[in-house]
Amino acid sequence: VSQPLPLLGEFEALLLLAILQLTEQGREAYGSAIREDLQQRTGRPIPRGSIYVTLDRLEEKGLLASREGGTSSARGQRPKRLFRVTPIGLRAVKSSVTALIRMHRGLEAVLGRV
Amino acid sequence: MPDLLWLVVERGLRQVLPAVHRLSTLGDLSEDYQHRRATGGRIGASCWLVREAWSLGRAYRAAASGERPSLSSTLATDLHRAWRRLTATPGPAIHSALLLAIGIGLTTATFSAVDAVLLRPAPFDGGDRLVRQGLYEVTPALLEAWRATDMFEDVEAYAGSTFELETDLGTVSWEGASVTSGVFDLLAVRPTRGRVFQARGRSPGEAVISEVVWRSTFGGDPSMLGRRIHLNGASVVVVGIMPASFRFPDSTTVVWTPLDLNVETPTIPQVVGRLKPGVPFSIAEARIKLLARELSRQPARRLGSEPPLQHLGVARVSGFTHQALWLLLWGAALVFVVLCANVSSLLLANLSARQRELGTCTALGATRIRLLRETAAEHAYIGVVGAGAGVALAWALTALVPDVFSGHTLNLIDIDFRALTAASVLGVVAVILTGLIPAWVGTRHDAIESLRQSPQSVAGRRASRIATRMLLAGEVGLACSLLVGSILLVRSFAELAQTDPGLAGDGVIRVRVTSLDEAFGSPVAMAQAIRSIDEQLTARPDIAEVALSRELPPEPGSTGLAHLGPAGTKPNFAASIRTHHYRVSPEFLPLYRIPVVAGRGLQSNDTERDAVIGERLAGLLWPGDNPLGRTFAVGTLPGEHRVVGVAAEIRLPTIDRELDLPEYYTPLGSSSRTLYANIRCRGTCPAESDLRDLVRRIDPRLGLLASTAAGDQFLQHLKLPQAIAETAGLFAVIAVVTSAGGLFSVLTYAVGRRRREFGIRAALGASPRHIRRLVMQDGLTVVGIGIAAGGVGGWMVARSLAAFHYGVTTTDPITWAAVLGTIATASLLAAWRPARQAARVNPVTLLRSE
Repeated sequence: VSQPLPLLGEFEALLLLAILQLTEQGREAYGSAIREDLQQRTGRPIPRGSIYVTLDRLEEKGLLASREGGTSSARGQRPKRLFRVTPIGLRAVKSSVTALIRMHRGLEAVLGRV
Repeated sequence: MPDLLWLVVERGLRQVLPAVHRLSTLGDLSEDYQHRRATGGRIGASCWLVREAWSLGRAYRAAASGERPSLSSTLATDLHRAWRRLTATPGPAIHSALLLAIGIGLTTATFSAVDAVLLRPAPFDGGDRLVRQGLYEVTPALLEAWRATDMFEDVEAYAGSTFELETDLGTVSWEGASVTSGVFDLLAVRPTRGRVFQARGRSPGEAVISEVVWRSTFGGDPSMLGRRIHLNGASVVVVGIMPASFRFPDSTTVVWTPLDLNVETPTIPQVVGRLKPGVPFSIAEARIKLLARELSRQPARRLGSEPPLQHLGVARVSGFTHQALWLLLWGAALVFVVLCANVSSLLLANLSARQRELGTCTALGATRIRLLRETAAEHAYIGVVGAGAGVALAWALTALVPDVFSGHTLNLIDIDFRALTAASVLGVVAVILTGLIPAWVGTRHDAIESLRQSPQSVAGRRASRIATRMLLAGEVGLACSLLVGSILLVRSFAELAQTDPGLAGDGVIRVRVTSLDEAFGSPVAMAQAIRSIDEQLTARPDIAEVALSRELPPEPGSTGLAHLGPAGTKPNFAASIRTHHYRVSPEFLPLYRIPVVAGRGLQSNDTERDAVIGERLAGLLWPGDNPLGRTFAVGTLPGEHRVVGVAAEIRLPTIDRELDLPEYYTPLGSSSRTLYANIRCRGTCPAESDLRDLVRRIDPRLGLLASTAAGDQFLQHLKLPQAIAETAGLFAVIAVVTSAGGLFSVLTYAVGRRRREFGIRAALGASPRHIRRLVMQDGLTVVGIGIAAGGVGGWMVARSLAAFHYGVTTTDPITWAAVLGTIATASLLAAWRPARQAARVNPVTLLRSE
């Protein structure tokens, strides 16, 4: 019996995608980097608070995992918290994106090519 | 150098961020902040940091509050739920709030009266430092001695008097006062027009009037300042007009003239002073007492038993009125407690009826604290509405405070800050008193138990039952005590009103001839004028009898200490008798139909040494002996009085034993400042204007004032006991009606809950009479306990009211019978309908509805 995938909110899906992007590029996926990437790609300001609260929630749901990373003087010797998307997270984000693509199909005339 | 802003932000965020990821989150923030500082400048980075930290903090706080609601949101939820519940079934809540409003309103209004008359400082700037003294007559020496104590900023003197103001329309009488020139400065008041008196002794022949007189008597004449008016026959110039709100030294004073302490005034001058800041009242009082003792070697007249120093705000009321006001406040407080007990039992009964609902809440996981909180919120609403409505009621009631109380104070009887505070405190007390027991008892639930039973079969938990019954019994007891007290007061008043005054005042009018001493300088001329007045009045065909007097019963005569010691010496206080002295013409006793029981009445050739004494004085001075021909002295006055006759005693219409003293009469004497003509008319009485023309023909400077008819004057004296009796009666009626109403609602609730039980009893063969008896028994047991407690309470109340009894005793059988009868009747009436309802429960209908 396959476990039903948790439903993702729009912001949650965006966060997971940003983490995947960073990991694919070989960059460290931690709070500041994730936020910067998100702001760049979506072109809208993201409140710092919502990033961290949502990251905590996704980790709680098991869609994300985190470990301690390196530190620097600019961080006051505080460690980074590096995120990676878990297999469940990957499936969840995939299902969300697929759903979006399917919903888009046939609406090219209205929405144009995305 | 450490970044201070960062330190502050970090410290703040430490409180909010979850511990497990705190370091990394702060690390991210720090990294971005350093980047901003390096690229965007320090100020921009600082603003950015504050904004980011705020965003972080808010998000985490919101996330945390999703799990545990904050105190404010809990409170809001409780209040919201309570509101919904109250508005769904508003009946009991409105009933309770109404009862509380009556209690708070009555108590606040009574408190306002007591506060204004007895407690509040005078309504002048820094009124709490204003003091007056009333023990010794003021002489210039006393004034100087006070000033020399260095305790006062200023010391002045005043003497109250009545002024007859002559106008084109006739003579008007206004209450006024002679004051030393500094009084107005001492009280920190300014005239609205003109000026006040100039420094000592430079303002003879001047007068200051109140705006009230200016508008009512002179129609607001703009050229009033500098105008000459006739006060007590003397011509004076009006130099200033005081604001209408200014009253001093009495609440009725509206005319002021300069006071010269070296000239005798009609009333005894008194001192008023303003204490320096920081001088405690108690110290000042002690020093003034010492000073008075030192000065007592100088001739001084005692003015009764007033304390030597008083706050100016404290009204000059007799100890009797003082006591009466406190008494009424206690009465109001008792009514308040009765109403609170009533509301409490109502709320408890209401909560018991909601047992199933509360049980469901408990079963679903509501803690008792939560139920208590919600119940408290409901009661808070009732308290707030009750207090609000109570203030409105109190405001309306203050307008009804009888003149016998409000006329004595310089303060306005109103709902001021102090009264509002009192009302709020009462509201809080009411909520605690009424809400605590019901909430505690009513929320104690065994969830399973209350759900297992059907609502009708829950015969009321024991605790709740006992609490309700105890509250009711207490209520009945208090109502009983109040009823005893008020019936005794009402009976005293009735006795007083029916007491034979010992003189026939009906059909007698009295007029006061004024300005005698201004018109006639010498005693001989004055005696001649008095004789002419007497003769001319007697000659009129519409006048049957005329008697002249310097004092008028029921007004107390001049008081003195009668004793048997040698005249002119200081009397032994213990062996002296306080008396009223009336100086009258020989026709006085026959005119008032006062019988002479021994010897003879006064005759025209009697001297001032000859006296006719009342029966009571005769009995006190010479018990069992014949008083005729014996002599007695009065105070330290030289010469002795010789008793020529004994007259029947007259009774002044007062409960205050201090005022109804034994009396004696002496001839009028030749010189008199005030003179009353007592006139018994033949048919219709002559018009006032005719009488005024009559005295003017004797001398144009003479004035005439109509006085109230003798009968009316007696009625005036009944006003205070009447006001006390009426107020106490009102309190008792409220208490009794409320208790009966409380019994009725509680029994109705109880019957509603026991319907099933009654149905089963009926099905098993119990007769309706039997069931009715069950309910009646329930109610009457409570009343029985209440009456037993009330009997003890009532006896205590009756004892404490002993000073107000007149012709009744604490054990007055009629009073006690009336109390028992009233309570029993009210209880039977209250229990009757619920009992009938119970007896009418039809088992068949009941079973069908289940």
